Parts: sequence; C-alpha cells; structure tokens
Amino acid sequence: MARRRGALAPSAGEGIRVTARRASRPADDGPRTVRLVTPEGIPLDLTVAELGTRIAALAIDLLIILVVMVPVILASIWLGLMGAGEMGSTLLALALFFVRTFYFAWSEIRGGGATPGKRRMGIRAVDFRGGPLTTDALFARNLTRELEIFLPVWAALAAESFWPSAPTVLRLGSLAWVVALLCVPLLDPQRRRLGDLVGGTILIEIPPLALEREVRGVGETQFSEAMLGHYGIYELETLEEILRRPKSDRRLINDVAGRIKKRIDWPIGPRDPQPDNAVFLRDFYSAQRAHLENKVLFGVRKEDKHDPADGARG
Amino acid sequence: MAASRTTRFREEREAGWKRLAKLVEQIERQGVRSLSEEQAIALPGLYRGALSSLSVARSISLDSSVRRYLESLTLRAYYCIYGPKESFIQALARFVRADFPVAVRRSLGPVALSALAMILGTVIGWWLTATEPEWFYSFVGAELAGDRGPGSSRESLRKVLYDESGGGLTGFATFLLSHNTAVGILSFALGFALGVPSLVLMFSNGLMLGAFAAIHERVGLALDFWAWVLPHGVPELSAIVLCGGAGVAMGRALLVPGPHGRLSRLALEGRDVGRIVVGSVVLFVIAGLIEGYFRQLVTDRTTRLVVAGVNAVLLATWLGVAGRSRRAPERASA
Repeated sequence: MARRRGALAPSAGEGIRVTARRASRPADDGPRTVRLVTPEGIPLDLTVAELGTRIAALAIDLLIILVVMVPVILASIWLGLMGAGEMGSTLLALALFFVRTFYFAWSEIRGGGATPGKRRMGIRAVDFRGGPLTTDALFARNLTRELEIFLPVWAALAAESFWPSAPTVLRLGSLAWVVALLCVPLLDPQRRRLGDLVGGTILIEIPPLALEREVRGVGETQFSEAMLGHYGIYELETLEEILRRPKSDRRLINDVAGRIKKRIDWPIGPRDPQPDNAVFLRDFYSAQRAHLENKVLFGVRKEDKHDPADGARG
Repeated sequence: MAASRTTRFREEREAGWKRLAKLVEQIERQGVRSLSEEQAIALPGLYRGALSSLSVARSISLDSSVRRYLESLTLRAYYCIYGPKESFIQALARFVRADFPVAVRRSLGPVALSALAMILGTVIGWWLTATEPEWFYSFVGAELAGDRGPGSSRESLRKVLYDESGGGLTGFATFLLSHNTAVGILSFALGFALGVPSLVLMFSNGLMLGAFAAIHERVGLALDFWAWVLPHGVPELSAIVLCGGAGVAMGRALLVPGPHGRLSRLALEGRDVGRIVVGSVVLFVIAGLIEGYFRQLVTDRTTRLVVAGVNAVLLATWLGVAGRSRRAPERASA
C-alpha cells in the first residue's frame, strides 16, 4: 500500500465528523481514495481498485464460468452424437444465457459485493455514497454488463437479423458504443464503469488483515531529549517499516544507524561504546516513538524532520 | 513512558480485535447466517469497540501497523454489518411482486409514448402494404420473412400459421438469439442516445408487424394471423414496448437531468429502468416458451385468441395493480 501521509494520519485536529452520512468525496490525497463516514461518525478511507486488478478478477470469474460450463458442453456434444443435436445446442444456449446472466449477480449478492474472482484479488463492490449495499444495486451493476458487452457484440455481428436497413451504420455504431463504454472507467476518477454508474457502486481494495507484533526496544540504549528532537513522524514510520522487514540487509541497518547517529550527534568517537546497530535502531525507534507520542498527546505533531513542531504548522 | 500507554492500549484491546477479525473472516466466507447466536450478539459491540480503538489509535498511536490493521478491520467489519440485507431469492420475489410493476408505472409516460410509436407503425405498415404490396419488402427483412411475401398463396401462409414443424425446443433456442430480444435491449441501449432512436425502432417494428398483418389480410387470414401472433405476442410486444419506454426514459434523464446533475439522475433513473429491462427479459423468456410449445399444442384459432386475451388481462393486472398497497420501494439507497 502506498505510504501516503494523508491516508495514514488524517489530521488529528479534524476529529470526528458530526454528519452521519454524506456524499463521498475524494480525500485530499487524490481521487483514488474515497472517504466515507460510517453511521457512527467515523471517517474511513477507501482505496479505489486498480483497473488491472479488476480485469484480473474478471478473468478469474470467466474461467470459473468456463469450468462450470464444461459439463454442459460435454452433455451437448454427447447429445449431438446421439442424434439429438438440436436439443444439445438449445441446452448450450440456455445454459450459457443463464450462467452468464446470473452468475455475477448471484455471487455478488451472496458474497456481499464480491464474486469469487474479486475475492481472490482482494476487491469488492460497495455503495458509492458509503451507504449499505442493496441487492438492487448489485443487480443493476451486473445486468448492465449485458448492455456493455453482449449487445454491441451481437449488434456488430448479426445486425441484419433485426434491422433490415442500415446494417453498416449499426455495426459502426456498436463499435463506437464499445469504445465509448471502455472510456467511461478510464475517464472517471473513481474508475466506475457504466454498471457502476447505474448501480451507484464503486470497486475498492480490501486490505488484508494482518497485525504485526509491536516493534519494541530492548532497553539497552538511552537517548537524551535533544537526541530525540530531530526526527518526525515520517522518519519514525520509515524506520518502523525497515525494522519490520523479515530479513534486513545488514548493510542497510548499518547505513541507517550511521545516518541517525550522525544526525542526532551520537558520540561516535573511537572510545565510545557502540551497541549493535540492530539493537541501537530498535531502542532508538522505541524511544523516539515514546517521545513523539508524548508530544502528540499535548497536540504537537512533528510531521517530519523539517517540521519546526512548535504548534505553528499542522 | 508514553509508549507504554499505547502499548497498554494495544494489549488491552487486542483480544477484542482478534475476535472481531475471526468473525469478519467467517462472515465473508460463509455469510452472516453462519454466525451462532452468541457470535451475532457479540458482533455489534466488537465492531463499535474496533471503531473506538481506531479513533484512539488515530489520535495517539504512532504504530502504523496498528493503525493500518484497525483501518482495514473496521472497513471489513463495516461491510459485513451493513451488507445486503436480503438473499438473492428474496430479492427476486420482491422484484416480481413489487419492484417491476412499480417501475413500469413510474415510467408510464415514456412507455405510453413507445407504445404509441409501435401502434402508429403497425397501422401505417398495414395500410401501406395493403395499398401497395411491394412495401412489404421494405419493412420486413429477408430472414424474418422466410418464404412469406405478398405473392404467397393462402395455402402457404396457412401452413405456417398452423403447421409448425420442428418447433418445441428449437423455437425456444432461437428465441434467445432472436429478433425481439435484441430489439428490446437495443431500444433500451439507444436510450442513451437521447431516446429518439428507441422510438424509431418501435416504429419500424410496428411497420413490420403491420406489413405481415396486411399480407395475411389479403388472403383472408387476418384473424388467423393475429391468433398466431398474439399468444406469445402479448408478452413479447409488451416487453419490446417496455424496453422502448425504458430507452425513452433514459433519454429523458439525460436531456432533463433536474437539480442533481446527469450522473445522479442517470443512477436514479437507471435503477428503475434497469428493473424494467430485466422484467422485459423475463417476459421474453415467457414469450419464447409460448412460441416454442404452445403454438404446436394448440391449433384452434379461438383457443389461441382466448389465451392471448387472458395473457393480456393478466399482464395488465400485474403491471397495473401489483405493489400498490405497499409503500413504493425506494429508488436509491440514500
């Protein structure tokens, strides 16, 4: 997940919004984040799903449909061999129609806005305004897919069967239709396709649930107040991320430790005791965090090392 | 040390978060119904607890792992709790019982306009073909006409009306890819082009119908023709008209968005109009069944007309009356 400062640390001064539910608006870090306010009054940030992820989810769903259709295809081939070819093709057409039409709607309703493909890719459909997801919305967004794909393909390939005059115009028209509909999610900042617009939904990323253990210091190293006054929250979080890596590169640790020591005027003379760098970093993290959290409790947030943190900014 | 404050905060609350996480994962996998009674009772409390933890963490904790965890936990719990409230089947039942008829009634103006276009087309098509039979070829495409035309003898036309060989399932299969479904969906789609093409399509469909009626009338088979068309024609033509009406309604929504802007109006109207189209597809399926099966089984002209009449009455009652006594379903969730 991109480390955007705004997303991780909504300004502490903002507090809780009083309005229970209002239209979602793009949060300050750009249109790919949408903020909703729960009925309890807590703002939550949603990240709009990337188009690539959605396409992957669609591919998985189509694969599932194909797999489901295999027995039907086999049955219809068998029927054809047995001489009941017409019945076989009818069966195929019927099954394809129902599976295609209802798989998406049914699985999304059952899965709370996520088909198996979407669940695998970690995305789901939710109401754009932050309200509860209704079955109506899910029906609408899925049945519109017929309109987006099925109809233009049909019109482009078999136009004569329902409009004796002007088939070429219709073919071009349906091609234009497909292109136009493809542009809709590309142009919309929240990446909504026609089905999403009609159903009032958007697709968001569902982040995984993983609570990592707290990064704790060992307590071996002590730091003075002055030493802890240099860095801000951004550096703290960066350090946390480095310390959380499962296998930290020794060189990186030494490099970071060296820089910190230089910055905070840690005595690095030849006769000063040097703790192990990994331990040093953990202790520093712990102490720095305690220091900054103390400041936050008094309403002073030092966002990064350039922030004067005298209450004037932020 | 302040770190111990946030550390303590985490230690105290972590168990609750883990419990909630387990519940959330279970709901996501198996649905809310899979919860036991105690789990269901515990859920709202755990959810509120997580929300309050999130607030606290945002204010005082600089452990970004905890904040990230709580953000995603509360988000997922939110969607578990405020998820869709009815099952697929319930939604279907509600649709049939109330949503579809009400949606049709709400778009009565556009539907009436669409019906008018089709009726006008039928009358004009009939009249033109009756006066000048060659018009038939302009109105009806070759595939749809088959062997029929203004030069067809009474016997050949009669055969088609009463002697449908190879019907049954094949008829049904062809329905799916057939003329009228495509017309219906096309006319809805054309609504995005401001509704006028939908009306044109209705009109041209009417022309076709009128032309067919005229060539049968020339050989004295008018009533037989209608008896042949109407049993499946009542649902099918109604569905086409409804789709045309849906298209006009969409066009109107785009042209005259009202105070909320086009996108909102599109979403609002789209919900209703989507219902109309879905219901129309159901009507097409019914029409296909009738076309495939009923037409072979019943060849008596009077019976066919009676059945068509009954169909019409049922349809009109359903669309006109169903869903009236209840409060109309909301157009949008907010």
